Amino acid sequence: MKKVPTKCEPALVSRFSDGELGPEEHALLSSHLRDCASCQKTHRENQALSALFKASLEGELSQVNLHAFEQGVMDKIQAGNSPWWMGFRDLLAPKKILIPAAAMAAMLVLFFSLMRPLAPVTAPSAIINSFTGEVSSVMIIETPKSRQTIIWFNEA
Amino acid sequence: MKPNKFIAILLFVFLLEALAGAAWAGSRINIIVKTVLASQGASFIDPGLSSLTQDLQSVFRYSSYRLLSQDRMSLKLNQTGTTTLPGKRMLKITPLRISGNRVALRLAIHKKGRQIFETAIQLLNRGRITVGGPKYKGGYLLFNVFSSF
Repeated sequence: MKKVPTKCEPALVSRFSDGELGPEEHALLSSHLRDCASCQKTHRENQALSALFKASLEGELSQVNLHAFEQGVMDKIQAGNSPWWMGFRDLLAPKKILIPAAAMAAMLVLFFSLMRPLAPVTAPSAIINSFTGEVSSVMIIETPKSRQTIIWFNEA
Repeated sequence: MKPNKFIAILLFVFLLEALAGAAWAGSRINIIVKTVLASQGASFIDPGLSSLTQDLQSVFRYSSYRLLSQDRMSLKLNQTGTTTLPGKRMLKITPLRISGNRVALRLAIHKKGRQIFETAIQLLNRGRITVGGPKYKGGYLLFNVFSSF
């Protein structure tokens, strides 16, 4: 049977205040505290200090967005595991980049579709189907490289 | 933006471009007529004729090419456009039909109210034909016709 503490032990009282004693020790010290004013005072001081610390900690925690912090940590973990092209997708995801880019692409498509290239030089520029006139002579000429058609006539 | 919306925007853009192309093809034929005076005078190439003179110099030996006038027309099929030429002449152009990549044109030159020349041709889209020969002020007139549709 353990002896009732006859000498005040601050360390023991501190453990009692923090709820760290076993059932037997807790019962023994409770009995001692009923009769020891000094230990009672020590116990009250320990409780006040603990309450002050707890209140301060809760105040600090209330100003921290733990959810955002947790999400940030998870995002970093996932970024380390995601393929390289995911970063490219994330770059295009914001609307302020994607919509102007799409509009610019549309304008470029329309612009270059209107600026069609000159007719290919695989055929004469003009095919003569018929000719009539009050002329003394007529020549139909095709330029050698560009195959441009020329009609040369002399008025009668 | 979701990928589906992005794809939808691109498809709409391509559809718009295709419709615009189809609308252009059937509506009007744009024609540019350049009247040029070719002569053996002092060497001169009009800045607005650089591409044309390269073709002409491959077959002619004129030293001077001067742009006298330039007219633009936008004609519907079977609509006749008219441009005045030097020496009391007049050029009438009538698009008849579009066949593939060519437009059928009727070209007629009138002098003093009388038709002296007429030809029916099929001209390539964005192609040109030159009609020349009438004498004028010591040189010869050339009429370059460019069409696009």
